[in-house]
Amino acid sequence: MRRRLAPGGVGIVVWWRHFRDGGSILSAVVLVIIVVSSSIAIAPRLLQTATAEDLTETIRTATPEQRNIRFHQLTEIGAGAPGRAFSNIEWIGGQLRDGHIPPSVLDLVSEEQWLFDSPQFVVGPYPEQIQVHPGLPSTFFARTTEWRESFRFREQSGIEEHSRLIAGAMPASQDPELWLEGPECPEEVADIEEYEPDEGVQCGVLEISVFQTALSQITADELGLEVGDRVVLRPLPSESGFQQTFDGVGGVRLILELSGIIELDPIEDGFWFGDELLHRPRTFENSDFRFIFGAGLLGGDQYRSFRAAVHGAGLDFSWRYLLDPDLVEGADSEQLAIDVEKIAPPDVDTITLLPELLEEHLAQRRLTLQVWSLIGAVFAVAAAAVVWTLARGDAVRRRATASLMADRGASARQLLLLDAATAVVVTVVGVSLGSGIAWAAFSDTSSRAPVVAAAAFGVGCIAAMTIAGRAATAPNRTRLAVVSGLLLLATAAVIALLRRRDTGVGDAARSGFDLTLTIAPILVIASVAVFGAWAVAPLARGGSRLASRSKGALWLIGLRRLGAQRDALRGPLLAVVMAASLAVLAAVVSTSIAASQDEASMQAVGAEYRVEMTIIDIGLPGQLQESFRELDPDVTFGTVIPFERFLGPSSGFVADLVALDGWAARSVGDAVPVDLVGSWDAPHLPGPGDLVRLTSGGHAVDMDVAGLYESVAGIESTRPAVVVDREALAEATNEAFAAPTMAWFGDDVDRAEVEAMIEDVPAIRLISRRDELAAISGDPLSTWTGRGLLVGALGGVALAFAAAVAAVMTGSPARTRDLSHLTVLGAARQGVVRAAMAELSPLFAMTVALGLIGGVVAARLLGPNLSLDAFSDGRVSSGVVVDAWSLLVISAVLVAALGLALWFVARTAKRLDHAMMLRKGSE
Amino acid sequence: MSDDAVIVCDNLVKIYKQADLEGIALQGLDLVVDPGEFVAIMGASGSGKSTLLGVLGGLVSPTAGAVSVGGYDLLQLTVQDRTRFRRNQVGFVWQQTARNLVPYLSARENVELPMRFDGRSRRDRRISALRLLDQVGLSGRADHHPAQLSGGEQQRVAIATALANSPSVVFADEPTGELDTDTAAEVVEVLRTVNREEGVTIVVVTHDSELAAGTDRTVLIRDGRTSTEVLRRSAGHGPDGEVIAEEFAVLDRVGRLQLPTEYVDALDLKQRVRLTLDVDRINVWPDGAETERAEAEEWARPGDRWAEDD
Repeated sequence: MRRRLAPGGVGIVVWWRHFRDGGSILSAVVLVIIVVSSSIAIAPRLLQTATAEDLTETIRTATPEQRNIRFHQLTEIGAGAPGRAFSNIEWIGGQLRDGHIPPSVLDLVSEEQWLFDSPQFVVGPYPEQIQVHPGLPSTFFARTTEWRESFRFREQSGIEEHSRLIAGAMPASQDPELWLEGPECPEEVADIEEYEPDEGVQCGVLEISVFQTALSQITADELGLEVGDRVVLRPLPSESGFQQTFDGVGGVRLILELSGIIELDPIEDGFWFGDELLHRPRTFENSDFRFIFGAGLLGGDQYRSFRAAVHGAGLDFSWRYLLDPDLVEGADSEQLAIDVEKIAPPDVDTITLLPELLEEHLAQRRLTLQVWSLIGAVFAVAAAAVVWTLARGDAVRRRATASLMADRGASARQLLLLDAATAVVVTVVGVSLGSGIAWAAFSDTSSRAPVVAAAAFGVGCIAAMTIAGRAATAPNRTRLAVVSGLLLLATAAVIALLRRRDTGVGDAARSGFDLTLTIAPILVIASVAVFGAWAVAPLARGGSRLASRSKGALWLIGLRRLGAQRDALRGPLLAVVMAASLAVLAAVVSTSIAASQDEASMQAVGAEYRVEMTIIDIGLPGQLQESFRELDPDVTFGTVIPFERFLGPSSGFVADLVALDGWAARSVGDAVPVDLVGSWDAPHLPGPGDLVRLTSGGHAVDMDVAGLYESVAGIESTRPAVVVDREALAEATNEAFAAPTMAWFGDDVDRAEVEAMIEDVPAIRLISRRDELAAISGDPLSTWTGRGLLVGALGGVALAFAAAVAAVMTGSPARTRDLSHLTVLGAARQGVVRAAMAELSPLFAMTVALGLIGGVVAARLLGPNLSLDAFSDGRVSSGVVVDAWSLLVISAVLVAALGLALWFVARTAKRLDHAMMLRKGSE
Repeated sequence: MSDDAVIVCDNLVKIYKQADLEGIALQGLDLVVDPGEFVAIMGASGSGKSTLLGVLGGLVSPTAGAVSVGGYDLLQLTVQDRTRFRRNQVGFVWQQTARNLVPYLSARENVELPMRFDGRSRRDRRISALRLLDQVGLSGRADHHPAQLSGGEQQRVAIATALANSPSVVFADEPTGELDTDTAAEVVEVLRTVNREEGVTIVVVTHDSELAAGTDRTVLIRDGRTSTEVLRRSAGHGPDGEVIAEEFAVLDRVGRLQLPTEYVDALDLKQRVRLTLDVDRINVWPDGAETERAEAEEWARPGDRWAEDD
């Protein structure tokens, strides 16, 4: 009766001896596993840290208007009890906060404030009476209105802590003044309080309210006021708040008295929300005119009486909730983005760019996760391939022992257990150490992802090593053909799946790991690698034939050896190709992101430098323009006039008017500019060939639309923009209207010279494309993604080197024996070295070529789904850019790494002790 | 030959294919080995002896014919049967040490290795291993590793290892190939002792005529077939009981035999030979030798010749 085969393994002692015999190869495997598993475990932690940093940075670098929340309402709110005049305003702010701001957002709010602005008043001289001027023209074309100065009252909660009285007194209630009003009023009366006009005399006594205000020194100077001066305020006709009251003769008139001068904290203080209206008046000025819009404090004492004086006119109320960037760290950005969208109280305008900021951050985070996960996955698979290659090399080296054990009656399962036990121990040690390193580096982050990722990699390595041990025989071509076919099918299916779904990120992957996108590059690269495995045979045959027909060249023997070793070298070849493809893929994605960011910076700035006035509608001083022309004859001037009204073929619309020098001379594609050209960046607007009319106050200019453009470099506009040639516009209107407020310089200009020119010019700034690029690429997620791609590229090169070394080790005894034969037969050392290198050089050259192909093909196929524009703030629609220089650089690095592996071969060939080698035979 | 032979080869054929070339290593080889025999297989390089050993050891599958070893039909082996066959039926001793001994195990551990595969207990393994090492004269080197043993000692350990699971047949491929004469003699003596004391059938492939001389039977293989056999047996009636070696030409089942090369060369036999049958033998004549003989006989019988003249 035949006994059953024994179920057990080979025993712990035999396994331990077998394991120790692994020596340097197993050490190399452990090292690869430690490095890769630590990288894989660190990556999710890094992403978590980078995400938190990026969110904080995004909030911190945003302007107050962007990151904070503001509710705005034009309404009437009554005064509270004496001493608490603004209590009603505060109460409404509390109601809005508690009822409409979600807790997750409220947790980030560190300060609340309210403010209101009164409607604008026209400032007139005191004590002269102001006659009503019906039909005040307000066209900017003519710019010939009589009113030059306007004023509004402002009050802001907490302002007393951010300002100091430096002259005079703070505003306080005043008694009204009595005025005579009428065409038949006497010029003077002794006591206006006692005056009673005669019957029939057209003269009345009016009680004019007097309000004090405190101004900044600049505002007072611009308005030409000193402490104690009085002016008369009259409603600005265009103010909607006054429309109901501005009827008939008289209307609302107030007397404004300057009670004191205040000094305010710098505008950079977040308290001001970026609004410097109290610090300085807005001034609109050119050679023809000068408009001044000023503001001053009202004070609590006067609120009740002011409300009575402007009864019926709504005040512009704002409730602001200021986010503290330091509180953002650790916040759940996904939940924040969802909660912010819920902020929409009824009857109140909600103004914040927080949703856009968060969406931008989340888009970047998604892209970072996509890029990291696909690079990480390819890295892990390539590393597993290298582990398999090294394990296979070890198995080949110990084939004799395995064969011996089989001869002695070891079953296939017993031998499998031997390899599997080694694989488990090596992998557990490597993954544990790698994960430990990751944990030590980032112990304060908590996530399951590192554990899962490291465990998955560990399982892959165990499988790879176990299979490698069993596959240490000649490869089965049929099996290779089946695997190749299945791989190509799977690759085609996944790519078709990616193409069919919407480009960008699907809902399923909004916040998480995109499995399809991660598997795709692995399959693509594996397919290229398998193709390479098939291509080895023709390469080897060609080399062998070349070697056979050549005469005299010893090194060609290496090509003959390539032919003999081709089957054994397929495995290492696969690993080298995968690793090289990883390096190329990382390089291409990195280059693409850099290119999109570079293009975005150019799109944002428009040239290497842009100089612009910071106060809208104030043109560049004429002398400065001349200096700019002397510095750079090719300097371009332009201006942006916002909120102009246009009439299209079918309806009217509001757009920014952008006037640029040389627009007509720009390359505009198929469009031919005729007189003026227009460009649009919004749908449902007129198209090429249409006429549009720029209208304002009864004046009109017709323009022929010559082209439609998505955007204009250097011009930031959130509305549709009509772009015209500046000189043509000036000719059609006037020079004052088209006065330039911006200038663009090329990279030939010295930045320091430009800075020196604008140093003493107020309200002006220099924007550099390089600074903009640094801002775009400097956020934490961009930075960490760049670093991750660099690690991916270098990791690919390192894995390629390790796989190349494994390829060198494969067949090393046979190679050493053959080279010893050559030496014994009289070959010179140099010839032997050349023969050794000739065997592997063509193979490595092919792997570099296949690596380039695999990496570029994978990047191109993934490009539409990668949303790379997230790293350029969405300014450019960018795809994958294959840059010749970056490919050259990565190829050179790969060649150097593989060359280093060849150097080992050459070094070994030089040091052969041929007698010992031949004596030991093929052991 | 007895019916319960431990090795039976019947018309064994093995053809190797290398690219477009075919090589016929065994061309219908017949061989029968009885239990307990000590057989040497000799032949020139390329005669097929190593292939035969591979087939018998279950390492190479034959192309045609029939072969059974220890009751196992080697053409019908499943994967499990093959493992069982190698583990319990046969043992191997190869020429190179690397194929015989695991370098990182001691001598005792090497001997225990097949027992481990067979699932035997630790105590049983240890006792059996020490006994086997003692049998080959290496009980004092049990804990030495192969690198610490001489070539002869390594081969002796290899023999002990081959006997670990009490196989019915031990195959040895040039076991003395790398040894000097004295060491080779030691190894041969060990094999002989094992054969005698354990009753294990031993089949040795060798070029060593000294080794072959120490076996019971030497089978010569030529051109993939068994050509001659040399049987060595003690002469029962001799005063000294000396071993008498007799050489036989092997007759296959269809009646073919191979004439020894020296006979062929001595008589310049080419292409065809004449056969005559006597009462107790078959005579083999070169082509043309019959006529000369007949003429010689005619001259030896003058009466008959003179009668024709008359």
